[in-house]
Amino acid sequence: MLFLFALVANSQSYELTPAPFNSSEADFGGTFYGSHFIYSSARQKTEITYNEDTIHHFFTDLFQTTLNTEGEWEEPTAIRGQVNTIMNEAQCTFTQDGKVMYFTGNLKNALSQKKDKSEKYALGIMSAKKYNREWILDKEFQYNSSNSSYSCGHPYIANNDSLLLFSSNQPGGHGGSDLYYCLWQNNAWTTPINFGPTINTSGNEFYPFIDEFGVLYFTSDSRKDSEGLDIYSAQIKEDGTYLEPERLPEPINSADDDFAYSEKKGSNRGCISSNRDGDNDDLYLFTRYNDDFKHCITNAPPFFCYLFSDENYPIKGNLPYVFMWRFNDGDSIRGSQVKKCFNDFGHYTYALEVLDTLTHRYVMTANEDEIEINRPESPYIEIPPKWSTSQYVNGTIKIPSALSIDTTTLEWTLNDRVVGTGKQFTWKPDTEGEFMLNVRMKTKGTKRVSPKSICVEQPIVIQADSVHEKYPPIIPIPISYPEVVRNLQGQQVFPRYYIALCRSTDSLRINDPRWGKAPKKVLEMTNQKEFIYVIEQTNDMSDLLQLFSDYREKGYDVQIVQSMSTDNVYDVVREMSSHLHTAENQTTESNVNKTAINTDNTKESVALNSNTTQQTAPLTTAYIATEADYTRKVKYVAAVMNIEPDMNLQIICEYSSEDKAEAAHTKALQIRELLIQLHVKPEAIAIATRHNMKVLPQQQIKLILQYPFTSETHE
Amino acid sequence: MLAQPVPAKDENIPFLVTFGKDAGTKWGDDDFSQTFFFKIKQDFKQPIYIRVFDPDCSGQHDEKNAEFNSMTKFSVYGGQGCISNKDATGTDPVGEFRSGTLLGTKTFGQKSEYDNGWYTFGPFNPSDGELSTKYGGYIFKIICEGIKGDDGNLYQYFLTTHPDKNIPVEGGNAFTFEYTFRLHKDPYQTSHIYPFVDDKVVSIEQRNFDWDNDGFIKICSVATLGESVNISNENNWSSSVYEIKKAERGKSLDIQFTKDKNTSVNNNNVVFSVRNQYGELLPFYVVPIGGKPKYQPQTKVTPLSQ
Repeated sequence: MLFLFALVANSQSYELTPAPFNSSEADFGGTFYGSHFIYSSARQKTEITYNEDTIHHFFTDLFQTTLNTEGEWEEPTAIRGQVNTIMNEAQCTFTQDGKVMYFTGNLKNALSQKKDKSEKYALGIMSAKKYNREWILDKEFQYNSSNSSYSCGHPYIANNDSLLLFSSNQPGGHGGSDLYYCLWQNNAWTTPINFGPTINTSGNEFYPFIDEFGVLYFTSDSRKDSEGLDIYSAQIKEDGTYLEPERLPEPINSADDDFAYSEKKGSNRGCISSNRDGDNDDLYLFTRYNDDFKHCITNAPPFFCYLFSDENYPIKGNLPYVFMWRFNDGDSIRGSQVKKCFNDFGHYTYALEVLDTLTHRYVMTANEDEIEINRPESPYIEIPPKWSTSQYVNGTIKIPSALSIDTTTLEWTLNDRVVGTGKQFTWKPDTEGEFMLNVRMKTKGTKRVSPKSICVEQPIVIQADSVHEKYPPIIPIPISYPEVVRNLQGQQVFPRYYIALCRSTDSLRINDPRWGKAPKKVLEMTNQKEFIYVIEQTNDMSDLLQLFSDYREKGYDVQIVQSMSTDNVYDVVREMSSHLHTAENQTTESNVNKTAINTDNTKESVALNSNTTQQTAPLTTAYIATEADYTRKVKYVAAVMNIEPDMNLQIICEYSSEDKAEAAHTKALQIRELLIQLHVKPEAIAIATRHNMKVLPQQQIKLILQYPFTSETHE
Repeated sequence: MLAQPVPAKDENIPFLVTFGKDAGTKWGDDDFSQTFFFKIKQDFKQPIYIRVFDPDCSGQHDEKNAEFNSMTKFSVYGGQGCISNKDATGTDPVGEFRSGTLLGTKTFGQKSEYDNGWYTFGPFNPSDGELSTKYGGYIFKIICEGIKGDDGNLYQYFLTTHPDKNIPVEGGNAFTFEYTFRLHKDPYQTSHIYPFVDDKVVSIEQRNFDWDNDGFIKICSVATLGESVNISNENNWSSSVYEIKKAERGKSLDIQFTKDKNTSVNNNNVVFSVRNQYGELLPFYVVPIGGKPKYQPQTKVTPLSQ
C-alpha cells in the first residue's frame, strides 16, 4: 500500500451534531458518495415468514440522502434497484467512477437454509452495478464464506480502486473479527491479507476507512482504552506499516458505543455512528478543526487573465465577422471570444471592433469599457485549482506588504494534515481526489497586540493522469458561414459533417491496430473516391465544432470531413471496431492516431489537419476541394483556421494532366483573390502549381492551402 | 427628420423598379405594381409636391426587354381610405388598393423629356392626405403600375416643398409594405431596408422574391450582429422566420442585401416584405424610425484562473 505520508496537525478538535435524517429506528454506518450519503437504516419494517410463523422484523436497508444546494439534507429514500431485500443490507462503498457498489448483506446460501428466526445469518460482501440510476446485483465477493461459517462485511475501496478493506471473522485471524485487505491485481482481488496485530486484537475490529493520506480509521471493542465500541486511527509509516492506533478524542468517542468513522473526500467533514443518545444507533455528522484556525478566509487571488466575449453573438447561424479586441496596453486580439492576460495590477480599458467581411465595413467600434485589477488586502495563494497525478503541485503564498506576518509560522496543510512550511509549497500527489489546501500563519505580535492567526483555504482537485497535458485544449472557433448551403442549381442541400480519424484513397486493413484503440466504434465510409474512418457524424455544424473540440481535447488528432452536395455522399462500408478504449490506452492511442493522419501526397490530403500543439511550429493544411463552390470552402477554412492578415500562406494547385495547368493556375488566382478579400495581405500569399500524377483523373485539379509558409519552401 | 428621396440615402438602393404587366415575373417584379406612402406632419401647413425621377420607360436607367414598349402609370391618392382601407396596405394590387381620393395621375411611355428628368405631382395641401393617428400625420399614397409592355421602369421619388426643386419636407417620411427595388451592380455595395418592429412583435417572417441566389440577405439590429435569412433564386419565393429579441422592439431592423462578389448578378431586382406573427405587414420606412439600428454587443468579461 502506498500512501502519502503526512503528519496530523496538532490541536485538532471536532464538532459533532446528530444527523437530521436519523429515524426512530437504528441508523448507522454509511459512506459519502458525491453529494449523497448512503447508510443503513432499520426504519422500514419487513414482514417475514419462518416456517408457519409470520412476524414483523426490522431488517436494515440501504438508504440515501442528498445534500441540496441550500446545504440541507433531503428526506432519505431507499436506494433503487435490486440491492435492498427482505434481509439485511448495510455498509457500502463505491468505486472511483461511482458505477460499482460493494455492500454488506446476508449471504444467500445462508438464507436458503431457512433455519429459524433466532438464527444469525452470516454476512458477505456483494457488488452491484449502476444502470439507469438503478443498482443491479452483480456478484458475490469471492472470499465470502461458501458455507456461511463466517462473515465478511464493511467493505471500503481506496487507493483508486486498487485496495479493498473489510472486516471478517474468518478462521486464522487474531480473534473475533479482524480487518483484512485485498489488492486488485490481474482483474481480480488477491487473497485477503490480515492487517496484523498492530491493528487487530483478540476482540473485534470493524468498519475500516482510509483517508487520502493513508490514515486508517477503524472500530474496535478490545483495545486497552476501549469503552465498548470505539473509533481509532492509525498513522501509516513510510515503510507501509502502521503506528500504534490512537483512540479518537471526544466527542468522536463517548462512554457508549461509537463506530463506523467515514469522511467526505476533500473536506474536513464526516460521519460516525453511536448509541450515546439511547438504545438505537444514530448517525452523527462532524466537522474537524484545527483549534487555532477554525475560520479560514476563502482564497481570493487577483485575476490577471480574462475571457472577453460578446453574449449577443451566437456561434450558430452567423455570417463572416471579424472581432478585434483592442486593449490600452497595446494588445489587439482577434476572435469573438478571446483570452487576455494583463501583466500587473492597474486600470485597463478595452474596446471591441467588429468588421463585416462581406461588406468590408466596421459594424461596430469603440465600445470602450474598463477593468480594474486591484491589489488584495488579504494573503492569497497562487495555485491552479486542478492538477493531475503526474504533476508536482506547486503553490506560493502572497502576502500584502501592509500585513506583518511571522513567516516562521507559515504552514501548509492538506485536509488538516501539515504538508509543508514556508512561502512555497510543493507536493507530488499519489492519488486523485479533492483536497482542501490551507495556508496558516500568524502576524507578528507586539507588546500590546498579541499575534493574530490567519488562514487561507483553497480547494484543489487532483485528476488521474491523462492525455490532457500532452494536447492543449482547443477553444471552439465560431464558423462564420451560412447555415443554408445551395448547390449550383440553387437547391438547398444539407451538408453532412464527419469527424474522421483519417482518410485514404485505399481501404485500410480491418486488423489495423489503430481501430482497436479508437475512442469508439469506427465506421469505414466511402464516396467511391476515397475512404474515411468516421467516429462521429452530424448535420449541424455547431454540433460538429463541439465534437471536434471534445475529441481534440481528448488528444485525438481528428479531422473534419464535409459532404457538401447530394452527389458527394459517403456510405458506410463496415464497422472497424466496437469496443471502448481504456484510459491507459488513450495516451498511446492518441499517438497512433497522430501518425495515422495521412500526410502522404500519394493519397488524399487531410481535410483539416490543424496541429495546435505549441511545442512545434504547426503546418496547417486545408484541402480546398475541386467543386465549383470552392469559394464557400475557402471562407469556411479561413474561419475555422483563423487565418490572420499577416500570416504567410501558400496555395498549392495540383493538376492531373498538363492540359489542366492553366485552369489550375486560374483557380489558384481566384483563391488568392478570395483570401485578399478576407484581409490576407497579397504579398503574404504564395502560389504553386504543379503536375501531380497522383491527382485522381476525375478530380483533375486539387487545391491545397498551407500555412504558416516560409519562402525557403516556396516553389 | 427630413424626407425625402425615395429610396433614401441610407438605404443605398439605386432605384425602385416596376415592370410592365406583360413582363415575366422572372425579371424580378412579382405584381407589376408598387405602392408608397408619404407621411406629412399634422402641423405642416405648406403645399407639398411629389416628384418622380425618370418616370418614363426608355433611355437611361430603365431595363429594356427587346425594344422599349412599356407604359407606366403613376397615381397619387389622398383623402379618406387612402391608407385606412385594408387593401391599400397589402402586398398585392388587389381589391380596393387604389382607395382614397385620386389627386393626380399620369401615364408615361417612352417620351424623352422625362428621361433622366423629373415629373412633379402637386401642389397638394397637406390636409388633402388622409389623417391617420396610427401613422402619425397626413398620408398620401402613390401607386406605380406597369400597365403595358415588358420593360422595367426604374425610378425614384422625392417629397418636396417646391415644384422644381428637391427641398425636404420637415418631419416627413415615406414607407411601403412591400419593396421592389434594383440592386447595385457594384458587388461591394450593400443595400438596406428598415422594417419597424413595434412592441407587440414576437417574431417576423421575411419573404423575398427573385433574389437569384445573389449573395446574402441578413437581418441586423441593435441585438443581432447579422443573421442570414433564406434566400430565393430565379423567379421564386423564399421565406424564413426570425425571433424578435426584447431589445429590438420599438426600433427598426436593418435588412442588408449583399451581393456575391464572385458570382454577382447584373440588373438584379428583388421583392421583399416582412410580416409579424399575426400575419400583419410591417412598414419599411425610408428614414428608419429610431434611426439606423447599430449593433450593441453585450460584452462579458469572465475572470480566468491562470
